[in-house]
Amino acid sequence: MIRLRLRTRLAIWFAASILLILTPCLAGILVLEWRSMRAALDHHLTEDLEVASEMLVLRGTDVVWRTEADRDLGYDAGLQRWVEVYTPEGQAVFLRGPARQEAIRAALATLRTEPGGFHTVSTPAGAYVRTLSAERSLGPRRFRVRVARAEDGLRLDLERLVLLFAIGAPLAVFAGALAGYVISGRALAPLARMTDRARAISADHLSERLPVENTQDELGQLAAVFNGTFARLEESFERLKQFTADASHELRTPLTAIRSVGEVGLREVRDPRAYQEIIGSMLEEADRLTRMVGTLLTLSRWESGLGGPNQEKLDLRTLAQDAAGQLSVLAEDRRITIDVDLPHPLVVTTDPIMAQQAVTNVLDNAIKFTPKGGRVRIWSATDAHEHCLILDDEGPGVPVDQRQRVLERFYRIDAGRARDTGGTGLGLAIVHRALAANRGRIVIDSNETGGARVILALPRSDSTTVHQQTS
Amino acid sequence: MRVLIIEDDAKVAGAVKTGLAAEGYEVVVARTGEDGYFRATTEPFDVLLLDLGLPGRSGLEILTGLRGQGLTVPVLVLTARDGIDDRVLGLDSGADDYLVKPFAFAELLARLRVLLRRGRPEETRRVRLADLELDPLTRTARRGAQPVELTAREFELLDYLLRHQGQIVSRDMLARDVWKEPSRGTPLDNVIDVHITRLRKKIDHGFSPRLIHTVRGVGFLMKEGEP
Repeated sequence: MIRLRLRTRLAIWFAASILLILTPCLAGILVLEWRSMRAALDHHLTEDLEVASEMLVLRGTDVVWRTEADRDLGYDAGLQRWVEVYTPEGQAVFLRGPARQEAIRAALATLRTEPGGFHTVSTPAGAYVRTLSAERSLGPRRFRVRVARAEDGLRLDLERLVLLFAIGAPLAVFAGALAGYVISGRALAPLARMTDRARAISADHLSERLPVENTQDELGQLAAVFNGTFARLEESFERLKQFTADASHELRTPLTAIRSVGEVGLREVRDPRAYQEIIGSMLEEADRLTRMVGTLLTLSRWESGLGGPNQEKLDLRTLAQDAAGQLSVLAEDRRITIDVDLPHPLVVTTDPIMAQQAVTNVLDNAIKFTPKGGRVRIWSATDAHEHCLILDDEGPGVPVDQRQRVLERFYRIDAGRARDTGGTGLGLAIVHRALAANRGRIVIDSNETGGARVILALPRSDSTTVHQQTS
Repeated sequence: MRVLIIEDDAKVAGAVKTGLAAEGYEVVVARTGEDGYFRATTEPFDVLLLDLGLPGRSGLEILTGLRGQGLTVPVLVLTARDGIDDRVLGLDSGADDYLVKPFAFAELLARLRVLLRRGRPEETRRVRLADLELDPLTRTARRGAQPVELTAREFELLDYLLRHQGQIVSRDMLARDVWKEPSRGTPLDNVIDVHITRLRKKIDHGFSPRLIHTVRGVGFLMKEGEP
């Protein structure tokens, strides 16, 4: 099957539809025209017969035209009509017009026995003649009277009409095709422009957009949809670039530390104690690097959905209490109170390891950013589908414009602060991924103290809605 | 104790060999899968250290082959892939334990000890060091004549350190064995450090000699005198 361009196909469709409409129309016109011309001819023949019946008189044994002088008036050869009168035995008793010629009469000889009414006969010369015959009485005698008119004029008219249509119809179809080609070309021109522009949009030129000529029509909507896609693509490219830059910075920092500590250590001979310090410091950085790579691999594994999370019923309250118990020493160190205000169980369906890491990371952040002597509160909220674990701290909070970005890998509000406290910059990214993989979400807000409020929402295990499980 | 290391990376193999030799093991290194398989089937070894990512014959093939031959020698698998499926695959093929690269040497030693001890009567390990003594029944500790008050977690931590006295204990080991956490994150590291600090305050402050030592970049060590 040959694949034609859309424009060509549209032109063909145009032409085909015109042909489809035109053909029955023209055929109908031809039929109607023929019938009305035929009806007019028959009407004339009827009149001829009536005139002949009036004008023919019996003079002695001869049949003659009442007014002898105009017997041939209007019946010359050019008009191609005639009158014949025969005895019942077939003897011609009166002839008028071309019928007086022997040849024509000879051609019509077979017609003498025909029944009355209209007939079309073809002469051996190839002409068509329409006849009307009837029985008439002149005095005591009966005769057969027949009037005739040539049908050729009629046929010629019809042929001209057919010829006109035969030339006109293809012209109309061609004009339709041309119009279709031109119109669809004009209609598709924005599409061609969009194609050209889209071809130019590559990874390096993601900021370009398709032209939107009319926001209301289909092409405009298509362009708008594509532009939306390009915008998201650009955004994710930007984030990927940012991540690559951040990751290389974060990964190179410990590597640089290992190198420089090692190189400086080797510059002079030291006592074993100093070497132990140097090697220990290098090992610390190696450990940091190991943890960072491990976390990144965990993140990408969760993101790719490999293996899929385990779906287990689990009480967020127990999880929060355990995390609070485990991290309580960190809080005590900074004289921070952790208030766990969870009167009811919060049973959700989730992966236990992912959920535990999420809660621990968020609580660790809350303790880290709350000033000494402050308070961290853990409470909950529930709706028909989700249980929310809510952690309020008394730290500086997260600026509104960064609440989404802090969930990205390596994003830090204050680059120096988190690194000094030993963070990898991946804590919230882990939380974000862990919840996303379990059909939950993390929302960052602020609380009455101006500190951060982190909401961890997970689907209730007794939720009535059946979620499509992503596998 | 004879250990066979099947590992293609010269640096890793050399470091592990040196480290194990220093601990008193007799170490043989095979640098290819074929050599390793040949040695494992022809010489007696007490434990095998097998790298999964070998060129040519893969570690898993060797493992399956050895088990197919009816060899029951304990095998500790080393792998750079820490996906769950790889682990299950390794254990299903007859590995006794696995370590994800990069690993802490202290952890390798601990795992090897466990493998070598397996199937033998549990040796009675001392839960005392110098004048520090732990009473598992009352879950209390005593340094000299001085009783020491310990929280439950502190007691478990001290018990674990004492049972591994003379060996370096990494944070990974503490996270897994004392805190029972499958993975170790930054928060847990901080928690472990705080507990060690508190334990040190109760055990070592005002006493001599110091018993809890920090080995920088590696972990902790309980030992009488300087490390």
